[in-house]
Amino acid sequence: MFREGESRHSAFNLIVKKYQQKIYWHIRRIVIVHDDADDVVQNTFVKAWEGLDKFREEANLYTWLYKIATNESITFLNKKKAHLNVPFGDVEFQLSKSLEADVFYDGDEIQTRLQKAILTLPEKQRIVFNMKFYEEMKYEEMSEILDTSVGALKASFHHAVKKIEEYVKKN
Amino acid sequence: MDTPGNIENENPELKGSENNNPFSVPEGYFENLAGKILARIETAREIKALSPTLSQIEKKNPFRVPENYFKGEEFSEENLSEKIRAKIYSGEGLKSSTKNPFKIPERYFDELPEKIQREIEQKEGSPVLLPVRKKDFKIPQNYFENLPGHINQKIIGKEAKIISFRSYYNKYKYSAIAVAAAVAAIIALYVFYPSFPGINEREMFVSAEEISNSFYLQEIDEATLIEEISESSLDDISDQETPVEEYLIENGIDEIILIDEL
Repeated sequence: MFREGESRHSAFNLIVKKYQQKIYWHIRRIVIVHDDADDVVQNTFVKAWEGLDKFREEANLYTWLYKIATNESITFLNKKKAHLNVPFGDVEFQLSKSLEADVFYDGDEIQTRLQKAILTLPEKQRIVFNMKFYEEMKYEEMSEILDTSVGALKASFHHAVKKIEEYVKKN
Repeated sequence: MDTPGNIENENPELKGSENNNPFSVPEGYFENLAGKILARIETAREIKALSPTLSQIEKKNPFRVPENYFKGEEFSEENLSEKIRAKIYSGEGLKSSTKNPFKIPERYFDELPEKIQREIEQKEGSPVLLPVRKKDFKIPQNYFENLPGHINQKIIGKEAKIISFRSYYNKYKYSAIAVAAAVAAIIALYVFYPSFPGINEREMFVSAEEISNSFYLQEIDEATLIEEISESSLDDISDQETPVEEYLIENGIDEIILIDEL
């Protein structure tokens, strides 16, 4: 559809409009702050545009976009970690602090506690938890996006839920 | 008489419109709906089994986005799809936005470590040679201050030898004249005809000090030099008296003085 010709631009516009919200929310839950998510979501679609030629038509476009978005978010957090010159766990702590400072966040006490609990999880566990809990994605889809086996994803989600429960009860 | 309850009869303008559905759903909605519902049920069941506490928390999105971020007017700066469109079509893309405007010479970073190493070696001495340098050769105290004096003494000694040469004056009379004449001729040639082939500009401006300090001259044994001059000069001189020699004889220049000058 978007291999060549003038239809390429208009086809890509349709793709952006169709997936922008899903991709945005996926990114936002990882990077937390709206301005950061805005940058990452734009980079995700620009990368998708630049990689259209490499996109295999037999692959799922939605999965492909999710994969780019996840990688871009992780890259962003790694850069943030390098910029702040702190260990990765401390980046999550910084994100936790910036959560309430973000003007585009209005969670109540319980929601904030839940978000802070999620931010105590290791990076990949956090992504798995968000994809399952908020996005209600099937393990098979997640497996394709994250290049991880279904079994490992189930175990990861299981650990994440246990940790969150413990945090919420303790706080 | 109209049948009661017949909408078409009550509202003739609706006639023929009962099959037109003004609502629409996203493409593939019904194909994916069952899967979505099942995924939701499965997730809820799984969370409930794993954590009753978490399953009681309302699944609400606490994050917001700016107004018009998703649904704003097209061409609005706040609109996400417009931002992406602008970024892609302006040619600004990721490649150009992260492009470094500064350029460096080709293979700069390949050669940089070597350059730095060379600089360090020049300033501090080679790390390889440093232990050797520490055991450097030593010279006696004030060696270079005293060296000219020692050389002068040696020169005086040589001059004495030249005096003894005079005892063989008669035997080597013509040879000595020929040597003197040749040397004088060469000097004259180089002084009065600086453009003489074989003299380049650099050589013309070499100072006497530079010549005396020349490594080449310092390294050559004095005796070898004299021998070289004598042999090469004698080889070039025929048995016939040269015009220079004639000039010297005619003008009564003392040959002994010439020899002494050597």
